[in-house]
Order: sequence, then C-alpha cells, then structure tokens
Amino acid sequence: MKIDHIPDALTLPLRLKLLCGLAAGKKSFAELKEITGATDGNLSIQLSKLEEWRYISSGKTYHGKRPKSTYEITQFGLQQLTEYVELLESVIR
Amino acid sequence: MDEAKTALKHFQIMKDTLAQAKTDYSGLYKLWLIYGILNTAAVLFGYLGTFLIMNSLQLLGQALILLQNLAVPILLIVYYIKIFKRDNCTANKYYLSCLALWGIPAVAMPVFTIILKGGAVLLFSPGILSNEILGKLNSFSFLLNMFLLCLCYIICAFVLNRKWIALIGLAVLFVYLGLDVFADMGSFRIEFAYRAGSYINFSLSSVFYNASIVLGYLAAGLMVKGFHKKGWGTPDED
Repeated sequence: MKIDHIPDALTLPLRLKLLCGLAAGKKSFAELKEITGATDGNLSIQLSKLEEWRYISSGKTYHGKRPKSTYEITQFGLQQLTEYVELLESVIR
Repeated sequence: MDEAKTALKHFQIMKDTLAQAKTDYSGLYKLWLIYGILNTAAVLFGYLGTFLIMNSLQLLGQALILLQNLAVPILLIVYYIKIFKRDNCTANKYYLSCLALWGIPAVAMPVFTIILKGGAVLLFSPGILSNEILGKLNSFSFLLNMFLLCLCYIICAFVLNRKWIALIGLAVLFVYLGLDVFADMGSFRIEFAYRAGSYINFSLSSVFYNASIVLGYLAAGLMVKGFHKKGWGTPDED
C-alpha cells in the first residue's frame, strides 16, 4: 500500500472505525451503532460499501424469532487494515 | 507534515474504536464470582461459628463469626479497587458504569452496616442493646444485600441483553421479602435437634438469603462469563 494510493475503505473515519470495531470481533448492527455513534442511515450505507468492496461480510442469525444482522471483517479486510497500519507507522517514523 | 497529522489522527481513531469495541466484562464476572466464593466462606464460617458457640467453644465460635463479618467486606474492597484500577482507563464507559453501579454500593454497604452496628453498641448500654436490636440491624443488612443481588441481576440483564435475568433478580428479592415478613411464624422456620433435648432453628428467610447470596452471585458470574464466551449479549435489533 502506498501513501498516494490508499483505498477508499480506509480514508473515511467512519469506515475506519467500522473496520477496527470488526477487527475486535463479530458485531451486530446495534453494537456497531453504539461503537461508532453513527446514524442508522449512514452506518447502513458505509456497511454496504465495505461489503461491496469485500472488506466485511454479513450474515443473519436468529434469536428466537427475531432476525439479527451480524458483520465480520474478511481476511482481505484484515490484511488491508494491517497494511494501512504499517503505512501509518512508516509515515510517523 | 499533513500526512503525519492524518496518520496520528487515524491511529487515535483506531485506538479509541478498539477500546470501545472491546466488550471485555471480565472485571464484572470475576468480581461476582469472587464475591460468591467469599459469601460461601462467610456462610460456612457463620454456621460453623454458631455450632462452636452452642458446643461451649465460645471464643473460637465468636472469632469465626467476627472473621466472617470483617473478612468479606475487606477482601471485596481490596479486589474491587484492584479491578477498578485495572479497568478505569478503558474507553468503554458503559462497562465502567456497570462496574461502578454495582461495585460502589457493594463496597459502601458493609462499611455502612458496620458503622450502624458500631453506633448501636456505643449508643445503647449492653442491657438495652438486646438481641432484638442487633437482629433488626442484621435483618436490615440482609435486606440491603438482597437489593444488591437484585441490582447485580439487573446489570447482568443489560450486559447480556436478556431481560428475563432482571425478572429472576426481582423474583428472588420478592420471595425473600415474603419469607422475611413471616420469618417469626413457626411454619416459616426449620427446626432440628442437635443434641438430646436441645433444638436449633433457622428462619426460612435466612436460609433463602444465604442460598441466594452464594448461588446468586456464582450464577451471575458464570452467566456473564459463559454467555460472553458464546458471543451472546449482543443487543437485539428492532
């Protein structure tokens, strides 16, 4: 990853928060909302984009009869995030 | 220069998010498990102390009961401070609130009851300081502890997002209150002979109280530990 070629998924603070939040483990929509403090609409759009770019994947689980959307970071997403952290480190040094 | 600033800003975002996303409730469940274990020891010491006093081993019995009354609050305070010091830098304010909401009353209550008992000893002469007054103070401290257990279950319900846990806490509290109201009635006491012609009796409310503060906290600690490991506790979506 180069400084002049940072993927769109990592430039926006909210997307970065989502990826870091999911790097800590699988989360539900409500949990991500609590972690990021974003609105439902904005969160939904950013999650869709990250999923479209294959940084995260989503699934549905059932608690009783209620469906619950859960999200997790993909291997690709984790790798990109790791590379981005290394890039940031090199910039600071 | 701008790149370095952005890099630092993004590092900060990542750090804060990771701390916020870390749903580690180990402090809470460890605290409840330890409290359950301490209560188990206290209950055993209490019964053993009573048994020794009844068998003319007054000094040893009283020492055990004194140990029971002092050791639990002191150990709880020490452990709570240790947990709070470890976790107070976390960005997860929700977790910290839970820790403070239960921990501060849990630490303050025994100190409060010791002050009350000490005050009663100083205010009343031994003749007036009857078993009835001490009994009422004990009963009051039992009631506070049952409220604390109920609070523990309400916190547990919020942490795990399982509302039925709060209902169990409230049910336990109401059962105790019910038993306590009728504690002096014969049918609400358990009596057995420990020696020919000598009987010992316990009120059902005190037996229920002891069982609740032992099993209740152990169950709460194990629930938070187990449910968290299974990935439960994620809030329901509407």
